[in-house]
Amino acid sequence: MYDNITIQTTSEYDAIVIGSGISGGYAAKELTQKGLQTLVLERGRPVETLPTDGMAPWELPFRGGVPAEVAAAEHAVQRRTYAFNSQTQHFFINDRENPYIEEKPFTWIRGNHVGGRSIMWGRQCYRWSKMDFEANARDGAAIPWPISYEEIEPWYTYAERYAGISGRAEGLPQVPDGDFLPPMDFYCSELMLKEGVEKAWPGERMVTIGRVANLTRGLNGRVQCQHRNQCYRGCSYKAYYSSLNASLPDAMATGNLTLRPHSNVHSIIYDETLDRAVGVRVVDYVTKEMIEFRAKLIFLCASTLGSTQILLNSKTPRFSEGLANSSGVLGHYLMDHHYQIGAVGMLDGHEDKYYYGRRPNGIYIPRFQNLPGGRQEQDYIRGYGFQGGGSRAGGARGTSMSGFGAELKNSLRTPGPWSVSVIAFGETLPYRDNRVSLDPEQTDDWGIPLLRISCEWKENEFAMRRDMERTSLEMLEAAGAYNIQLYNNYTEDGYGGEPGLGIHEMGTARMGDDPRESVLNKHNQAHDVPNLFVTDGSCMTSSACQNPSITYMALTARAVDYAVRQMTNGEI
Amino acid sequence: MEPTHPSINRRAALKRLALLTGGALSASTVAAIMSGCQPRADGAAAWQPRVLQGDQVETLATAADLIIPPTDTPGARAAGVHEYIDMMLADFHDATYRAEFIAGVDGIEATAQATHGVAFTALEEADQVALLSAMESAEDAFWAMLKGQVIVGYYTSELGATQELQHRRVPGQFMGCIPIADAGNGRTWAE
Repeated sequence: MYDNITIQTTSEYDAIVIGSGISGGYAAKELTQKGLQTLVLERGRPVETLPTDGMAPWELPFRGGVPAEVAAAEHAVQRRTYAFNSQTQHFFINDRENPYIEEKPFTWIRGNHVGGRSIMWGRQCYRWSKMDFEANARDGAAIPWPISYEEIEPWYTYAERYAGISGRAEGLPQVPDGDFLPPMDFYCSELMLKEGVEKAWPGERMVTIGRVANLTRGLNGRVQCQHRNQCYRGCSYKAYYSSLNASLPDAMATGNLTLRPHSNVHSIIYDETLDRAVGVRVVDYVTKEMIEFRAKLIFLCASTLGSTQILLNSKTPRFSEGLANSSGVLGHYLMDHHYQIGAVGMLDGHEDKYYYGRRPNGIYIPRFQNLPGGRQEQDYIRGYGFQGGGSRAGGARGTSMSGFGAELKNSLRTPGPWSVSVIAFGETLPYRDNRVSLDPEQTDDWGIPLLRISCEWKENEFAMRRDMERTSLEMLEAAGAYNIQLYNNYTEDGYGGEPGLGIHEMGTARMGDDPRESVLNKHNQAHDVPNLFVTDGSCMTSSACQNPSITYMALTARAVDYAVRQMTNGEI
Repeated sequence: MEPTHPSINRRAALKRLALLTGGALSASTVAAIMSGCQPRADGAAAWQPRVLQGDQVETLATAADLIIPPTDTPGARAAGVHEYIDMMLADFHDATYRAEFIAGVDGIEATAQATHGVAFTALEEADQVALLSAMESAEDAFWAMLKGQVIVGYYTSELGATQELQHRRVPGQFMGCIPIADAGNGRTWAE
């Protein structure tokens, strides 16, 4: 299908970054600020407008909904995520045009535009801890991490100071404090939960405000959050961290960035003689023309599954099973966080209190099970944390109230009862048979083999979920909640709590010291190809239970620093 | 390629209009186009139903205004809830829901004719309220649909959100647990 391959021999770049999401955008910013002429290849479209920014409820298409027939036809997978609605529909990929194969239920949530999922992310930022980087070595569930918390710690600080993370320092070893902007306020019902939980489990469980990449004061030329709670639409104030709001504009300002949207990466070009990656092969998303770009350094940041698909499709005589895959682990050990389990309940009290503004953030209950030195659960290893949040019922509660007319209308004018929710996010273990591969026959419209995904939760996750149900319930009870609704949306062989839905997929090109068991070394550098770095979620050796983006940012900045020093020294 | 959905036609219209006006579109213009309003030469919007026909429009608007009546603030009719429901029936819901809803509106009219021999809209208000109350008492399936549509439509409308409830387009700050009297005008927030 590729009759006319254009080779851009005239312009060789210092570096190519594949992908412009949370990792790729940050890699581009770091590389360009270090003076490298950098090409960013983004598969999706440019984002020139934010069509729903600032719209009030009555201005949104269908007041926020997406017609079921449209969602089924164009977004059969994307509609499974909470974040998909008419505010955000244009930021989610068209599933009909971009298929993959679910050997078992797996929900692959994707963007297809400059900035990727950094536009629609949940913005929760929690450092991993010493415990998380040591977990594999301690319990033997997987190969050891090649880095320690101490090694990554300065890079967390570096990334936090750039992105701007609002949060409260709590001094907890399991989620170390960062360099925080002022914390956001609690809702009354969250204060009730906090009081109940901290009284029932003193020193063991606690409720803190979410640590979130929203600016609670101006930072790095961006203004503070206006509390519209419309981050998912893009934010014209640039008050939350995304590639569009921060890293790509900063990279552009250096004069060293070339950004090429519509660039569907087919494969990375490897030269056997030079033993180096020498460029990237792109199929233009619009024209379907194949084009090659050359560079001295490649940063692969196309998302966990995207990057893995590219490596698997970059076959050479030496790497017949995919580039940098002499170990054979590429595509294996796929993880996510398991969730869709928790509880919501109503609370009496504080009827004379209310709130002002719309907070784009929730609460966080850090992991309290299986902490090193603490009591260990008998039927599972690792642990989980909770997100959640408070609210007070509004006008929509009228749909479930009896009566109608002036009496109903007048009662809805006053806010309804307070409620609070907790939602568990659990660590999953890396299993070799949770894996992705290329379909041997079927390709997409760009001639790229379809990704096949086979992933499932196993006994450790199920045992952890039983514990999550128990602790969700007991914490809401400790807060004095009533009408408690406990839910666990997982269904066997079905949808509701399937892998992928956490949108924290990771692990398919993992880091490790041993090249026989890992794709990347401790610098996110491919063991097999020294000028190839992979810094998205695919590098992760375990999943911990924290939202991972800030860790990807820290690893990316650290890898760029190393790679550029290696280039300067002439080693790559 | 033919657009597969009416909203795509309107998106295309928006895009063309944005080109003509140099990209500056007010939010209300966008909303008017997205909700299917056709601007008239004199600037006022002449609403035309797209799904509801004949008496169905007045039957629905009357029932909606009884569910959320005008008090010291406008009710459902003034907030255009029947127009919102017609738009949702045309572009959002599937054919099954649409048919069920329209049959329900016709059912209100048929009940009025059967019990009083006149149109629902011609009944005394007390009789209209009694008819709707009977539907609620009977746990009528259409009643739940109708009431849900009216309540959601009203409280997400501009009048419902800003005159009956309160709304800030750009709050600017957040306070999570303050005396209700300090929370704007103390009424329920429309999100």
